Amino acid sequence: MLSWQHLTAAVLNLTVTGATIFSLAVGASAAPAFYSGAEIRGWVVDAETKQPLEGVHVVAQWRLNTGLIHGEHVTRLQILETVTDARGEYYLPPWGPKPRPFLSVLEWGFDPILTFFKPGYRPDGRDNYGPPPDNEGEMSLRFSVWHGKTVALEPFRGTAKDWAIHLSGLQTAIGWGHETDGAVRRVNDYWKHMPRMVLAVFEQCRLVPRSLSYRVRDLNAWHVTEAELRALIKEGGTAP
Amino acid sequence: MRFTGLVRRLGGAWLLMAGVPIMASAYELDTHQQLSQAAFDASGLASTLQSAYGIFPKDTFRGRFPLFMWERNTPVNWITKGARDEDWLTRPLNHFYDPYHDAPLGIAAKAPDWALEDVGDLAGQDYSYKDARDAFYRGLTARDPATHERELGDTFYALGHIIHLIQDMAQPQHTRNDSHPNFIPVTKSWMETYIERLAGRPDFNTLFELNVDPDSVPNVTRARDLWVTGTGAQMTGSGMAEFSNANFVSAGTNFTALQPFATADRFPSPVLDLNNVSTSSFVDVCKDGAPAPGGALGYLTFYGNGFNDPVTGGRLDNPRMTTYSLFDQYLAASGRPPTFALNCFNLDKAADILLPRAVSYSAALLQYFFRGRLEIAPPARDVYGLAAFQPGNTGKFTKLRFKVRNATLNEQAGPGQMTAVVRYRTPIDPSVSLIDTPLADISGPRFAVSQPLDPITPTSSFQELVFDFTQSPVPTNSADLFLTVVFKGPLGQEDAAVMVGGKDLYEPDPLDRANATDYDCFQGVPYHVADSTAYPPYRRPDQIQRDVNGDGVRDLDGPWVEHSLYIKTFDRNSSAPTLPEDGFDFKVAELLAGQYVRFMLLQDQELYRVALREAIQEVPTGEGFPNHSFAVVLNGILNEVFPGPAGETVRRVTLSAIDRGVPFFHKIALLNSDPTSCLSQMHLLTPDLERVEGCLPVADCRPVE
Repeated sequence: MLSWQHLTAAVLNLTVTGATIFSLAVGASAAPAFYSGAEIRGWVVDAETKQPLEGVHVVAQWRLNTGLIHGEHVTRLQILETVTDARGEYYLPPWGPKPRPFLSVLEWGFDPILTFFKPGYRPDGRDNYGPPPDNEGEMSLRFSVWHGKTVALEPFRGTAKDWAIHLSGLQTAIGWGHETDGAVRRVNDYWKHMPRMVLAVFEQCRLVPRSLSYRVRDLNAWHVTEAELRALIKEGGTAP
Repeated sequence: MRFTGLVRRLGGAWLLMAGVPIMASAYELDTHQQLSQAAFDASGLASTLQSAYGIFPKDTFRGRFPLFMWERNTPVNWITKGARDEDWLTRPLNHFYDPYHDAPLGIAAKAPDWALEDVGDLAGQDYSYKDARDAFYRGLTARDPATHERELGDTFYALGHIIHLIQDMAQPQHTRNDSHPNFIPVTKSWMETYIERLAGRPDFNTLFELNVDPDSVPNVTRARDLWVTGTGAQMTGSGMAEFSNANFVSAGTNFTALQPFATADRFPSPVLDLNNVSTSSFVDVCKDGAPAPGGALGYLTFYGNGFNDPVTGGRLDNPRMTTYSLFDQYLAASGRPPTFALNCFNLDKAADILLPRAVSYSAALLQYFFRGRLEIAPPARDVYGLAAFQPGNTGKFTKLRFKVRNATLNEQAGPGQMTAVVRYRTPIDPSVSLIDTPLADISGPRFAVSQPLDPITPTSSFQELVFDFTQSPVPTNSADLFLTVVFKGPLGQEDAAVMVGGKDLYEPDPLDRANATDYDCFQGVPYHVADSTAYPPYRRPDQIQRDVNGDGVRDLDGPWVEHSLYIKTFDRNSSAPTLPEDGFDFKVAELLAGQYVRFMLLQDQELYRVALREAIQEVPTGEGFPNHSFAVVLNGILNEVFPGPAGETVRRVTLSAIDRGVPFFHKIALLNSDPTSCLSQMHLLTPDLERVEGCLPVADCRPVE
C-alpha cells in the first residue's frame, strides 16, 4: 500500500521534474536550433625535444549539458578522431549543422574537449578556457581556442600504477562504457566514433600488471570485442 | 492530521517548484567517477576484499534484479557506477547539508541522513549505508550463488552512492545551502562545471593530487562523523560538511563587505582577514589554462584564510579563499563596483584542498564499512573439518571447527549472530571425483552455509567454535574452498555492524595410510611376500625362498599387519601426539598388507604434519613393535581458480597419481624395505590395494579387540 510519504515523494518528483523542464525550456530558449563545429587544425610535439610527434591519437568531443535537475555533461553531440602525421599535425574537419537536442545545450569548455594520447606520453586534454564570448549561449558555430596551436605532450616516466591511473583517467575522459543520461539508461556507443583511440587505449590496458588491472576497464564495458573494433577501423570507422 | 501534513508537504513541494533554481547537483559525474576510483585505491579495499572475502579485484558481480540483471561489474566499477548514479532524477535534492544550521535544502533530507538512514528509513532511498550493510549480510550468508553475487554487487553499488554524498560535502555550495540552478548562467555552479571540465581530462588525478597517502585517510568511530561531528557552535570542523562550511565561501555565500572580520550572511565563518591579501600576477594561469587578467584590466585581489587540517591537525593555508575585484566568476567586466566573487584561481585553490579530502573521506567510509574483522585460526585439533571417505568421493563435511576472534581495531562487539560460509566449486560432471581427475571441469562458486550461532560475542581472544553445516554440507568432492565467517551485531557505536573473517583453505584432502608390505623389493625386483606359499617364513635349511641371492641371509621381509592405527594432524609448532588420549582424528583396528584406509580433512597450511601411532607385527615371524609412532609432513592440496593478468581464469591444481589402482595425492605407506630400486614397478603391481573402513571420529570406534 502506498503510504502518504511515498505519495508525497512521488508528487514531489513529478513536480520537480516538471518545473525543471519548464526551467530548462526557458533557460535554453536562447540557444540556437542547430550547432556546427569549426575545423580544428593543430600540432603535437614532444614537450622536451619540441620535435613533432607522429601517431598521436586526437579525439574531440562536443559534450552537451542535458541534466534535468543538475548539470550533466555526459551526452556527446559530436565526436571526431584523427591521428597526427609525420609533422605532428592533426586536422578535424568542420561538421554540422546538427539539430540541438531538446532541453540540452553546448557550453563553453565542453565545445569541444580535446584528448591526446600516445603510448609513452602522459595523456592530456585541452578545452576552451577563460571567459566565454559574450554571446556564447547563442553561438551556433562552436570553435576550439586550440585551433592553430601546438600542444606539447610530456614523456611518461612514472610507475606502473601511475600509468594505470592515467589510462583510467583517459577512459573516463572518452566515456568508456559510461551510460547515457536520462531516465532510461544504456551504455553509450561512442567507441564507434573513435575506434582507433579505443583500440590504442585497450592495447595499453592489456599491459597493465595484474595487481593494477582492476584500475582499468576492458572492452566488455562497451559490449564490444576487439575483433569488432578492428573490423570497424578497417572499414574506416563510423561516420559521426 | 495526516491530510494537514500532506498539504503542508505538498505546499513545500510547490514552493520548491517555484524555486526550481534552488535545485542543483554537486560535482558532476566524471568528477565523482574520478574521486571514487581514487578513493578505492586509497582505501586499500582491493587487498581487503582479497584477504578477507576471497574476492579478487577483477572478480565480477551481477547487480540486483531487475535494474541490473544483465550487467556484471568489478567492485570498483560498481562503486564508480553507484557514485555516478546517485545523481539520478531527483536524488540530488538530498545532497545538501548545512551543519551550522543543521539544515537540509528545503524539505529534502539532510545529506548524512540520506546517506546513512541511521535516524530512520527514507522514502525512495534504497542505497544508503543501512541498505548496503543489509545487502552485504544477505549476500555473504546466501546459499544461492545468484543471490550471493547480486547482493554483493548491490553492496558495492550502494557504497558508490554513499561516498558520492561525502564528495558532495566537499563542495561548499552544498554545505552552505547555496542553491545553484543549472541552466541559468548567473547562478549555475561555476565550480562544478569547471571541475567537471577538468575531470574530462586524462590527467585530472594528477592535477589535484588525488593519489592520496593512505595515512591521510581519517579514522572515525561513527560513519556520521565523516559528514558532521557537531552543529552550530558545536562544530569541530572534522566532518567534511563542517570543514567545507567553515573554511570556504561559495558563490552565493561570499563576503559582502570589505571590512575587518566580515562574514557572509548566515555563517560565522570563514572570517575576512584584511591582512591576508595578495594579488594575481600576469603569469598566473588556472589549471584549465586561463590566464589572469592584467594590464589595463587590473589585477585580481585575493583574500585568504588559514585553518586546521581535519585529519592531521596541521595548518592549511588558502591564500585565495575569495577575490575582491571588478571581475565576476567569468572573469568578465561586470560594470559594477568591486565585489567579492570566485574565479578559477579561487576554485583551483579550494579544489586543491577539498578534492583530495573528498577522496580520503570517501576512502575512510569504505574502510569503515569493511572495518569489522574477524580472525580465523585452526582449532586445537588443527583440522577444520573431518569427513569419512565415501565411494565415489561423495562424502560431506557437516561440521567445521575453528577459532574466531574479533580483530577489529579498538572496537568491542556485543552479542550477535555468527554464520560460517564455505565457497566451493564442484565437478560439472557429478560422477567425476576430483581425486581421480583433479583437472575435471568445475562449476562456478557454490556456497555452504552453517546454522547461525546466536547469540555469540566475538572477543579479542580466540574462541573455538563448531559450526553445523548439516543442512548445507561441504562436499568432499569440491575445489577452490574459501571459508568466511560473518557476524552481525553491535560493534563499537554501530548497532548492526557486519564483521567478516576469511581464510583460504586448502582443498578437501584425502589422507591415506596404506599397508604395502605385501610386496618387498630386493635388487630392483618386487616380490609378493604376502603369498605365503611362494614365500613361507624363512627357516633354514628347507624354507629359504626369502634368501633371494642365496647368500644364507634372509632378503625378503613381511608382510606386516598394523593394529590400533591412530592418525592425527597437528600443528607444526607443537610436539607430535603419541598417546591415544591425545585426541587422534582417525582410528582403524587392523590394517592388513595390501589394504589402505582413507579419510578426508580440511586444513589451511601449505605443509602440515601428520602423526601416526600403531602396533605393527610381521606376520611370518610374529615379531613387531607395539608402540610404533612417527610423524610426516604433507603438502596441502590445491585446486583453485583465480583471475590472471588479463582477467582470464587461471587454475592451479595439485595432480594426483595412481598407485596400485588407487588415485591419491599423498599416501603414508608402510613398506618392508627401501623400495627405491623398484619404484618404476611398484605402482603397477597387483592386486589393487583394498580400502577398509576406519573410525571417524575415534570415539565412534569400538574397543580394539
